[in-house]
Amino acid sequence: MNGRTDQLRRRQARLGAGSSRVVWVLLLAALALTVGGCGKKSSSTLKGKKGGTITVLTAADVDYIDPGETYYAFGYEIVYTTQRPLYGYKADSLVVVPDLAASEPQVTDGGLTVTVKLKKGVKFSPPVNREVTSKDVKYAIERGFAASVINGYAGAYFSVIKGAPATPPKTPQPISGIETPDDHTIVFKLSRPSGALIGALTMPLTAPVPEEYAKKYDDLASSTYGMHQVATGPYMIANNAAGSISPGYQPSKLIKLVRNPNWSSKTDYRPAFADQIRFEEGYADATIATRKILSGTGDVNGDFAPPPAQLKSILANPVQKKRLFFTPVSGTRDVALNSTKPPFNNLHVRQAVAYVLDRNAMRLTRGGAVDGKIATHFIDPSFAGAGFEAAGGYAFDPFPSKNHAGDVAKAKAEMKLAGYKTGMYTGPPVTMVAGNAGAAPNTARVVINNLGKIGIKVTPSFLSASAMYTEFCNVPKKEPAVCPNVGWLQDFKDAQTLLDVTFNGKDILQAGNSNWGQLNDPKINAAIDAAEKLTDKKQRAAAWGKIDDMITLTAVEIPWIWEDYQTIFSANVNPARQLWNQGGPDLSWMSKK
Amino acid sequence: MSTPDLIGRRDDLVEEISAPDAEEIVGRSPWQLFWVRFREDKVAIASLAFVLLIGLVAIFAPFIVKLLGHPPNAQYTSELDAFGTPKGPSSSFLFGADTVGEDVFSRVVYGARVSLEVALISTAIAVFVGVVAGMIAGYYRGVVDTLISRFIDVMLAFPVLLLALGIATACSLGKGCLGGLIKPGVPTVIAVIAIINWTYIGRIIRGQVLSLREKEFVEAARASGAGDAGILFREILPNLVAPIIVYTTLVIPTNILLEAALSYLGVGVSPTQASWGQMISDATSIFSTAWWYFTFPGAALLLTVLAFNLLGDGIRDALDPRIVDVT
Amino acid sequence: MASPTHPNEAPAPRPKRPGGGILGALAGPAGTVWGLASSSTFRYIVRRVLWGVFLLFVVSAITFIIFYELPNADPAQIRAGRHATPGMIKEIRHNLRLDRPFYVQYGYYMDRLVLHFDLGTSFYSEASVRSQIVSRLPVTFSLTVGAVVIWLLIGIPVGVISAIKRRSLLDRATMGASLVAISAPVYWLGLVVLFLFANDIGLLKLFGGAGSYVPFSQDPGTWLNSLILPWLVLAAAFTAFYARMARANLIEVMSEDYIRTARAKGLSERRVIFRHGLRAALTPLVTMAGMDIGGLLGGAVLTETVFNIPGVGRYAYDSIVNSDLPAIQGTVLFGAFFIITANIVVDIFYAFLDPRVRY
Repeated sequence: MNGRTDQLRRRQARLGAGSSRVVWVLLLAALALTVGGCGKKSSSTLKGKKGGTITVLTAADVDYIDPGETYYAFGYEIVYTTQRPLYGYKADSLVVVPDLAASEPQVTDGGLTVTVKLKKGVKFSPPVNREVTSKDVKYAIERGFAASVINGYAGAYFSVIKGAPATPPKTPQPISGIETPDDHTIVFKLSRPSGALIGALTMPLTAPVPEEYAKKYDDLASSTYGMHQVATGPYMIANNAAGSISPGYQPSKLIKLVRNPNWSSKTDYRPAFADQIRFEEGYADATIATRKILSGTGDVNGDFAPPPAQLKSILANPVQKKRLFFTPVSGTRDVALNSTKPPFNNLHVRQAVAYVLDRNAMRLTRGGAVDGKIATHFIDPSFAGAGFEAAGGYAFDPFPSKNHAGDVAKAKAEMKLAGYKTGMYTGPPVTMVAGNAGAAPNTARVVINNLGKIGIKVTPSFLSASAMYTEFCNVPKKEPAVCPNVGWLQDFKDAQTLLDVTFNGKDILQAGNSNWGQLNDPKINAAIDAAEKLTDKKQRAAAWGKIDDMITLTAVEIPWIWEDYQTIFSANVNPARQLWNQGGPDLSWMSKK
Repeated sequence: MSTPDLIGRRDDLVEEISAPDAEEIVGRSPWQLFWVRFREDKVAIASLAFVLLIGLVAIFAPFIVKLLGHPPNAQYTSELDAFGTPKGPSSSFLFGADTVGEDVFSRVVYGARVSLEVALISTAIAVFVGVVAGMIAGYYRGVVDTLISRFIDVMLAFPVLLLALGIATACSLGKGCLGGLIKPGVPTVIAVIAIINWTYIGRIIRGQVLSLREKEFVEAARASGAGDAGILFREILPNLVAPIIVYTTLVIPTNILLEAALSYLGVGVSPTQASWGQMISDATSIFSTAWWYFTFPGAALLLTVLAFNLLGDGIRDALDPRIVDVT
Repeated sequence: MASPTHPNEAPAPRPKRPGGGILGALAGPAGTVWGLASSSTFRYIVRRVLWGVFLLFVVSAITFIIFYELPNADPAQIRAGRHATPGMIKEIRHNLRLDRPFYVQYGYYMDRLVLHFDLGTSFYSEASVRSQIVSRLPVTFSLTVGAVVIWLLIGIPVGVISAIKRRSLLDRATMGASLVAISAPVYWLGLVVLFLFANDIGLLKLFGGAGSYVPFSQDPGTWLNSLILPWLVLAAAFTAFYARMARANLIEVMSEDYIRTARAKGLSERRVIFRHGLRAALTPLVTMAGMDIGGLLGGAVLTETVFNIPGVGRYAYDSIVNSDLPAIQGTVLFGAFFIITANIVVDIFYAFLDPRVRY
């Protein structure tokens, strides 16, 4: 009933790819293999007539309207229509293409120098109006490190740049490692090779920001540039002559995008069919919002997915079925077992849980097979070529059971190995903190039921997703024994973004911790450190694939679904998806019929 | 005491039935009279029977479920279709299944436990606290009265549901609140409802005590040397029994609904425990097709509350027949 | 004073108003003394208003304490995102002033509230709380006013007629039905009527279903259609309650001495009822309605939830669940404001009616 998407959905992030040409060819090949199986033809939908208004329905508001701050799927949908990062993607494609950049990045000095040439003739929207230079990209990245700009991933991916601050300066400060020899060249000097940095060049933080215009907003304690932002993409948030976006942004109600008059299709691959894009917010009930899209009042779903009951009826309707698209969410949902709390500090107990868990029943709480494939390890199928096969693909299933319904016998055997003579747990009840909205409580109930099969009793608490994360599951001191409603998604198409923060012992934080299992295995830590430095895509895939297997066997987290995101389009639009964007439509490619 | 001014209003109702019938001519006690009148009221008897039935269902839930349903918290994925939508009533699942494949019949039966337990205990606590507070405020007056009355004023200025939601949400964490005194789940709901309710009866009792303390028999008791406690317990409290009973009958059905409302909003009893309100909430996303899932818990709620309401009416009528019967 | 709109969005037992037997005072000869703006009345009004303002302050302080102290979601962590570092969280916490002692935060909050009517910014998004509440007020207004009209226009006449035709079949039927209406949970009733009558998914496609609300300015027809089912459901329990109360009041009044006097004087039954009986019987209902309205204006959470109406009630609920402290503060204050105002209005009304009430 509560359509407000849970934490997992909201933390979707974007994909980036490796740098070398070889890798991109490989990706294309992988694409050919995988996209064919994704169901919907893409080519015919990317033509369209110009004009009209596209209406996107969303449940909630953006997290941040500032393109350098936003980190949620909804915010990204807006950013990728209004801003141009260095690299991007065409709709329905996993291929990285230069966006603001003119060509692929050049990696030299054994990976320590990355040079990107920029396109000429790209201009900022009013009121700035001038051409974009490399200094604007430099400033955009620098501001991500400042305390006044709340960027969640600058440190994670851009701190390898020489001179990147270790602690956030109050206001944006120059970074010596970003050089701008001329107006259309930007050079990154790194302290060590990093495949992740190159992938991160697709993220919104690399979209240019004009310093002379933005500095006065960024110099405040909390930057207000977001409310005065300018655009480089085909669309912009409607603003007034002074630059304030209040005409186009009514928080929690409406976001209005209009054409960017300074955008030129000559410098961009985006067709930009529609004249206006409206995001209507506040559709808290996904069922009602989906009905509106089916009836044509809205055009596409924004930050929520149609509920299973409606997926059922849509799939049964031959006309509506054609407008339903599935794209991989690029991550997993997991059940986290706190390895610092008994009995889950015992490997065999964790493996018993991994055996007993009826993943099929779990998936049914989210709509069954239509929601995605059952996960057996962490790197999901959308990482074809970037680690999925290296991790063993579908075949790697260390805790198999018939129909994924769980194997009680094997679980009990593991419990015996852990020292429980009868195969049933004999200790006190364990604590659990679960979500209380949407499918989360039902999923938790299934977990509780399954834990009971090996004798583990649970005292659960049900809270809002934000309280669950920020007060308990993300705080090691307060983390319960079981967090059944966690999940993690990619930041871009690199397996490091799936496994590093979540399983590296060095990344256990006292607050905002995402290593929910509190895994701190020296062997795995070392393997991660080594894999981070690789820049060759194939080597990275192989290395991270191995790490995935090692982690899966520790059973500190039990992945149970590789989810697909469902997008439903109204009859009034020609659909266009963003494959790499986990299904959110690329609005620059959508058109009205 | 004057004839009741106006008895139609429920609060006046409570106010005015303070002294049981003082018919001295026939030697029957007021309570015998009450019982005679109650017995004659067919609707009241029927509702009493229903309430007792619900009580028995709650007490003997495990047996009933063993006979007619499936074990609680046993999940049957066979009862879900490929999209996770539950199947409807069948010979094996009398009321169908819920969204994780548990037996709705079993959950409705166990839900009676939660509803009754929460309503009865929270009402008892609220009445106890309210009566004590009301007696102290009404009897001692002065500063104590001012403090208690103003405190009640403040509490009543809060939007009630928001206060309940806030406290319930905050106390649903691991250890609960007040240092573990109020544990999450049923204890929290009981505490929240009690907190909300005591102010009403506190006000009523205070008013009663204010007028009672001026009466002759209290003066007489004081003159014969009885202390405050003696007066409170032996003279005043017996005269409060009737309004307390009336208030209790009024508020129990309300509290059943309140617990269901909190569970419906997701801040009541834990979803692992069967609660009628929580089941209705769970049913909302599929109610247009899975009609049984909201119908049976809702009907159970309706019938139970209705029975308590009718029973309350019957008790109030039997307590004082001068009251207009509102049936 | 009592918040009569019980959490179940139905009337609940109410404690008596301070000031003794008001209705006894009314049951005097026709032409009760209406205190005009005498100085004692004025002083009374001023006292009540001042007390009301003080209550609001106390409510805001207690709300702050409850929702600040009791552990809820950490807004700094939410805003910091997935790769949050402790440094980032600290920065955000500092920006949101969450690292100051709570009385400093409270002081800052009250300062903005009293001087600028600024209710702060939601922790969850960039929206200002005031704009959120203000934009939802017309919705809650529509819902409340419609329900009030229904329960007064239907409930009271039904009660009066039932009183006149006591013990008839009609009487028993209406009183029975009203008891059922009081016993049904609002949200369940909502699901039932949606299942039966919603024009998108119902069996008989008659009225607007859940989520069909549009503002009046946008489309009056749809606005009306979308509110019919919510009005009926929200008004159901109140209608029943007011019918029962009207009936009982009238019956009791009709057996009063002065009514017998009027009959003995030879007045027609109709005159007796309408001239003398009704006023005494119904005046308390009107004042109760005032308090009920005050409570409902704070938001009918259950009704708004089941019908997906974007009112203040639902916003309050969402903000509590999300631990959005500024929004919680704002909605609780709004609700309390309406409750307190309604009580003051009712008290002043009584003060005019009965000078003995002022103390």
